[in-house]
Amino acid sequence: MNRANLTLFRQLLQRDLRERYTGTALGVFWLLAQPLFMLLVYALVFGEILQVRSGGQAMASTATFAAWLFAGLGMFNALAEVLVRSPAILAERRDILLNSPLPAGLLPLLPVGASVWLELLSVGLLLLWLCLQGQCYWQAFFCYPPFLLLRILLSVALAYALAVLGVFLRDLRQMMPPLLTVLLLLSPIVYPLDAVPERFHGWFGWNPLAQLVQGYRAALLEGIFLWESFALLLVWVVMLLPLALLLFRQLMPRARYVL
Amino acid sequence: MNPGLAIRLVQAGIAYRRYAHPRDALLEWLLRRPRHACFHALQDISLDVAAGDSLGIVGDNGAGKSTFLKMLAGNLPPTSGSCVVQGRRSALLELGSGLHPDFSGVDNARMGLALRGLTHADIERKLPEVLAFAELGEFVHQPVKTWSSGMVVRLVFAIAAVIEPQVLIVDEALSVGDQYFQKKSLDRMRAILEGGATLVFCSHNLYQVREMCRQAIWLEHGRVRMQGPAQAVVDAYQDDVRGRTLPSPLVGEGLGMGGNPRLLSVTLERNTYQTLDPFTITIHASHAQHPLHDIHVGIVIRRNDDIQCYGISTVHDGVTMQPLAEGVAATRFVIDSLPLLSGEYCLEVWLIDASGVHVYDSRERCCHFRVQQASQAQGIGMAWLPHRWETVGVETNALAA
Repeated sequence: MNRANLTLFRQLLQRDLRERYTGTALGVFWLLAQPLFMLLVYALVFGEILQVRSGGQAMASTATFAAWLFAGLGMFNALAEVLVRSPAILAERRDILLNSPLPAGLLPLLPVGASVWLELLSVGLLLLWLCLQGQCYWQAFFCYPPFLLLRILLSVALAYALAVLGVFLRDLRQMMPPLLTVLLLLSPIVYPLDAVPERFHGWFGWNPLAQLVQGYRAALLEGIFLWESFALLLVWVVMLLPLALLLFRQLMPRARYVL
Repeated sequence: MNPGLAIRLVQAGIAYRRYAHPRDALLEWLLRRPRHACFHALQDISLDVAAGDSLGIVGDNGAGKSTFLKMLAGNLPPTSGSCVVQGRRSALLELGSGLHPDFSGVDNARMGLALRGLTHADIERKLPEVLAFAELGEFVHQPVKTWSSGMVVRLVFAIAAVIEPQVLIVDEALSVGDQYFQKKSLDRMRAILEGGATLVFCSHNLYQVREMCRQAIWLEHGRVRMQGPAQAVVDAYQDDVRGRTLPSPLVGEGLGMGGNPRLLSVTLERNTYQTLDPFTITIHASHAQHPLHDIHVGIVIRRNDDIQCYGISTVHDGVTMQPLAEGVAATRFVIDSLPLLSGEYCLEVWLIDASGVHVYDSRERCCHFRVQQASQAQGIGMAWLPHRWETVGVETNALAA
């Protein structure tokens, strides 16, 4: 990406974020308000009412459970942003794509860019919260970025594939929200992995989302780097990213005909 | 590519594929079996435009003009052949595309500049210039959705023109602006041209095309019907439009009766003239047994919209045809400098008797020829009329009174 394209991407991302919140009272704070609200609900239901606790650590209070939950939810929300918006992004920007020499490859990066914003905001908030409670590990600042990078690369792969497929299969846009609910429930995000019976662990071992959540939690809450999760995710990224980029390149010329 | 060239098209074409359903495009790719109908928006276009030259595009609606401009602008890659454009290009295409209605003019201007490949620093440098050129006053800070279409054109043109492109591509859009801004934008286009840039201009205002462009192409059903000097191409297109507005003329061939005088030939030395060229019609006729003084020739020059431009006969001029061979007479009609202006013309030739009433033979709508003007400076209309401009003497008496 050269400098002109970088400027263009910044403009597009800025427009993308502002467009959503133009005219709303909270403005860009909706980016945070939504996940915070969900966190509140989940913390109440699972932490306070159902008394879910992670066995690995003594999480006596609902407050620590909330931090634990937030570490996973922040990542999940960011990924959800990518999955929900990508299938529609080319159609949304159809006008600008067909009537200007805009490189089509920039568009799928928009949901990814927005998701990075979203994630950095919530992770920043989490770290602030932990520091205030005196539970902040300095190692987190080194252990977290590699996982963020993997999450971004995974998002890029998903965004490119979904964006171009979404042009041909309009149904994808409808399918994404329910699919996300399934993903949320099939990954140890609102419940800890050790609450899951042993025979299901094989699935969670391969589920990249589960590995991501584990990696994030270990990095942010305990300042530990999970090499195993990192390696497994790296394998996923190395497999998916070239495939997605190839798919996008192959299908994009056709996508222009039906946009 | 030759360094002197700004645009080179080699058999470029654009075919749109039409699918019954978007998923068919995906299935086609997977199954490798065609599932589309092709629509050829442009076919087989070869063209070279030198740097600093100007190219006009004329043609009916749906002839492929917009697709052609989109291809030049780089928004649409050709599906066959090649299209190479050298240098930074800036296009002003469909009105208001790329503008976001909820955002202010300033925001949209930033976006427009970014889309044209400017870096952040360049954008901040150029932005005041864009806003100054558009002359929108306080409105630039209002959302674009509150603007009139004329204001949108102002902004869009300002964005396209201010970045000093090496190739400027302008579609019809300009015609929406008011007279003041139209003039301002045409002046700007001319200034860009004079700065050595290349202009591609498309308009239904043929006068503007003629004024702005040296070269032109005429597109018809996605193909080049004609290309060449703007003057000639625009004339031809105009002739064609004029011709189409008339019912198709019946071509009456002269029928000679047995022993009656007949027109043998009516010839022009060529079929294209410049205004003020010498113009000669040579007529041969067989006079059979008729005496020469009873055989006369009448000529009418008609434009293709059926207007009689001029008609005269040897009867009126008191001329007799000269004998050429056994039973053949000839004469020559000469105009030293043809005053006709650009258009498509034809002749009507009558072989008549001395009374001018009886017609021996006639040829209607023969010898089609075309007249081209060297430039619009020779005036508009059908014929150049002898004229002069006088200085108005200041009469001291009149002023005193």
